[in-house]
Amino acid sequence: QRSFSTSKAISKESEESSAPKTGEKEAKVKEKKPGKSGKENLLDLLSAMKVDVTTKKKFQASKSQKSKEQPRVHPESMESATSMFQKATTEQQTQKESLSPELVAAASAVASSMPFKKSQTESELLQQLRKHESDTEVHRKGETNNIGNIIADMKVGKRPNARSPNRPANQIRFDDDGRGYTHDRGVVNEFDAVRRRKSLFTGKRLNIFPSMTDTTETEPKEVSVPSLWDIELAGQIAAVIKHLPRNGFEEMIQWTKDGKLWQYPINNEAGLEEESDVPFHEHVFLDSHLEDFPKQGPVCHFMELVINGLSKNPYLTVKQKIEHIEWFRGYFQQKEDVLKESEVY
Amino acid sequence: MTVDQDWSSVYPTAASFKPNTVPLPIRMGYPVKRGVPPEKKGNLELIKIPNFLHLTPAAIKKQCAALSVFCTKWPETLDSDAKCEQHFPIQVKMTDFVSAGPSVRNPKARVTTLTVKISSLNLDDHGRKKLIKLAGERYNKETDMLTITADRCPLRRQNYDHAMYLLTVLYHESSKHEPWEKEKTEADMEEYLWESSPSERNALETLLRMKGSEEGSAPTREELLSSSPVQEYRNSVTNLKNAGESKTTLLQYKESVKNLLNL
Repeated sequence: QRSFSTSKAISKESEESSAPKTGEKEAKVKEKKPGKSGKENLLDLLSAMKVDVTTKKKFQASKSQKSKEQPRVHPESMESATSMFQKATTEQQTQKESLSPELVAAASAVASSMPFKKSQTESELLQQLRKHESDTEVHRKGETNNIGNIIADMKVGKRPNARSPNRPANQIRFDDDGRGYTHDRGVVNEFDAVRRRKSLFTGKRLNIFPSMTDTTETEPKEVSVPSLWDIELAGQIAAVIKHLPRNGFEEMIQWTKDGKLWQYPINNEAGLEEESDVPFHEHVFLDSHLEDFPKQGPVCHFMELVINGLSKNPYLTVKQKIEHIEWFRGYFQQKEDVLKESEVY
Repeated sequence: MTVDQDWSSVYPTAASFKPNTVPLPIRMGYPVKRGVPPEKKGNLELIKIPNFLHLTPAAIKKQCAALSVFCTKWPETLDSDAKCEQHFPIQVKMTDFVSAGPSVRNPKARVTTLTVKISSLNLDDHGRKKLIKLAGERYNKETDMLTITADRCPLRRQNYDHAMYLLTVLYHESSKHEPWEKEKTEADMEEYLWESSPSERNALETLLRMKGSEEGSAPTREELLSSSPVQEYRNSVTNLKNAGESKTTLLQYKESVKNLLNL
């Protein structure tokens, strides 16, 4: 296997640079299964590549299981390919029938974004893909149950954040079209944009090809319970729509909305809305709850003191105060015979 | 950094000290071995302490200008304290407490204080006296202020309602005349009243006897009462009793007695 040294130049983040190009491709394939639903396209995989690069060894072990994902992806990924890639791959389709067109499309995309040795890159990538495909066919029958285990082992919802451990949250600024990062523009700016696009449709339209309105309409997956992939997709859409804060003030606004920051000017009674609906006389005038008690005698006197104390207590809710009085009522009713004996009741 | 750089955009919000951004040659720290305080690059001390680089006067001015859009103007006619007193005699005081801590709550925040001058309430003399008696400790004689503090309820608004309720009740109760108020004795009196006091009785009797011993018509009580020496005596005695003893009041008393007894 040939490792392309160009990959070092391409990747701008240090964690990626260690992976050779083929390793990247393999990681892409591996990445494909865990985080993506059938609706995600391969460019997502390219973007995911940079974080979850595995060592070769680890890949080999799970290669058989991962790679057999590919034929499964066939029918679903058909839906989400862009017009551009579909047209690009029609020529290649005839040659590589065993491979899924999306994989081929992604391979060509990767190759096209490489600064040099495009055709060579592409052919090598496609070779790899074909190899995986053949392996897949062999293992397909026996190991369908392992996918379930693998899916079960995956963590939910951590993927979007796992991709960007290196990014300081305050300093990311998106371009107006939500495409790239305004800091650290390098030679591989385009590749970065391609890589970081969360889904196919967020990039700037190039208007090279006439837009396809009918064929790109996808039939929504009918599931009664939102599957993992749906949740993932929803999370990714939300992340794209949400604008990261451009400055400290917007960050503070975001934190206030999240509830991480107090609301200014400081209101010491923030959050006590329920209590504020209670009028003051329910706290202070508790005589009305003394109806069931005797009107004279030490019990009455005692209960008046209790009422007085409760009315001065700002730390109890009205409900708690009434419960106090109820308790006393029950208590005195229990001890009725004792009290009657002493002729007090 | 350029000289005309706008500092409020370098530090728009509170942020830690960034040595490369702040162009000042600051040094901080303990000078070890008779050296100098360490420089700002890589200086953890400077990063640890809170700074106010985001609150320069220019930045504050900008923020105030931005906030002034949301403010309403003070009414121009209320340009003196006296006018504010006249139109808004009741003053309510509520306090918010700000502290750095895990919780935003503070139990002292629920206390509401209501101050009002009794003279601004429509009370006659009886009402005023009754109100003062009812208020007790809450009335300040020097400033003529009634202060009601409410803190029985957990929330500030409830306490405000409670205080307003108490004021209303006080006012209405002091305007009422209860039947048992007629039994007010001299011990209940707030101030000295000469009209039916022993002093009046004694003075009149003395004068009557004095005049009676001489020849001529004995003047009636009413005439005596309305005569000026008696009035003067009355004033001086009232003054003495109400205002306390002082040089002026004693002198006044002396003069009035001398006049009365024709000494």
